[in-house]
Amino acid sequence: MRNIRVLLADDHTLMRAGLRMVVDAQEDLSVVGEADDGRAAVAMALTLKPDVIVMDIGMPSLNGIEACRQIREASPETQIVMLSMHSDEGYVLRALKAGAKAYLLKDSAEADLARAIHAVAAGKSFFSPTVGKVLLEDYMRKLQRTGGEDSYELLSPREREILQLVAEGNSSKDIANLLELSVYTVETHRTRVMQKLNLKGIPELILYAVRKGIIS
Amino acid sequence: MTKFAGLQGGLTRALALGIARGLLLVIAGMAYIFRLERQTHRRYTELVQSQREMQQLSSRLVDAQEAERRSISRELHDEVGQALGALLVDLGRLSTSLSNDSPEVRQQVSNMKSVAERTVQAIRDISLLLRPSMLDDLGLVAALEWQGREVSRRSQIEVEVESDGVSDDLPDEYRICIYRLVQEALNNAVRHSGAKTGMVKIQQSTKGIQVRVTDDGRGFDIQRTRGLGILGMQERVKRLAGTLHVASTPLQGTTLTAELPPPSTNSPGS
Repeated sequence: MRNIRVLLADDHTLMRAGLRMVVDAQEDLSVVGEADDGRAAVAMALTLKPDVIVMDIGMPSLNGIEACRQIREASPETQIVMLSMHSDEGYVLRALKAGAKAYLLKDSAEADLARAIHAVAAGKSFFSPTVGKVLLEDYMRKLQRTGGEDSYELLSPREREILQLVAEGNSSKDIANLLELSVYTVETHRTRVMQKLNLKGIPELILYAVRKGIIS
Repeated sequence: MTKFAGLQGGLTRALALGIARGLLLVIAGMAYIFRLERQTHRRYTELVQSQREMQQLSSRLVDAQEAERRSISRELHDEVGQALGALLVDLGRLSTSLSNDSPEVRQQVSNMKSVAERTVQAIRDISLLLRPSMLDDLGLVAALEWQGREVSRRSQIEVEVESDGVSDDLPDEYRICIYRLVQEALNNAVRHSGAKTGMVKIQQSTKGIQVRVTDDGRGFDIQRTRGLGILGMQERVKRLAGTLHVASTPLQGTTLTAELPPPSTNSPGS
């Protein structure tokens, strides 16, 4: 099994120690370094070239979101698992926009961390189950109070299939191969999905998919 | 003839004496008025001075309060919150490593875990109320959006937040002023208005920043209701040399508008 090299970035020693124990307990994971603020995380990411960085969202000197953006720009092959206390969509969306693939709540970090690291190392995304639940509750409450309708109902079965595949991180080419369609057809479906759901960009599409429980 | 001349002389003397007395009176009166005026002026300057001092004092109070809140919040989050977080991680590992044949111990560990979870949540709520960490993590607009959703979750009002051209690196005194302003306005709406929807609009241009919080609740009579909340908001806005305007008519909702001058580029950030 391939060894996955992990960098831990959190400003709290106790938290890092806890994370380290979880990572060390996995045979195919190894901790290659620890950073205690955002700037150190960026510097270490560039020298150590880890496969995965587990990053706290709120760190001094440079916060996790900004650090994530800089790392993803300089070293796109490094994937990031964002750690946060908040299951609010503002945080999730900004983490996604900064290029994070997984979003974990600190409360359940210990249970889901290994799965999240394995998922992002394989190019997939991962979200704490509570995150999807909170996003859905906010969405349903809003629909109920403002009398809007659930736009998911407007999608055809094919469009739903493509929504899921895009949210899982597949390119249009991958999807075309998988469904035996032309890339052009996939692109058309994709555009229509974005229009029907009124989404701007892939991060919003992923957020939508998490909210609807299409991906987790 | 001499009698007439004598009479004339007497009259002239009397007249001169009268005029002299009158003049004396005028001079004395003028001196008195002048003194009074000087006194009034001095009192006025003193008043202005003490008002300015009051203003500075209350502005320092607001500063001190924010600084204090910030440090308590940081202390809670960094020390208490993190220690509890680490405890939770350990408890989680403990419960997974426990064998199935000790159900009582498992139950105990799970109880401990739920107590720790509740405490973490309580600490987090208090800490966020004191200093919303979103302001530091995500910036003002995201923090306002978060606040809007939080109010929607906890009350009957659905809050919408709109922003236009708001810079990500506003000075901290702007961010905290606007954040607290919106917080107070939404709190008032939740507590008193019975509104169904609330709207927060924030726009930034070269002319400055406008913040507007509107609700569709029952409104109030501004002449009669002048709560401490509005005074506090006014204080914060005045510190940044801005203006605050509250418009409300009974049964027609409330609109609160704050206009802030553009932040100077060299003002200290966070």
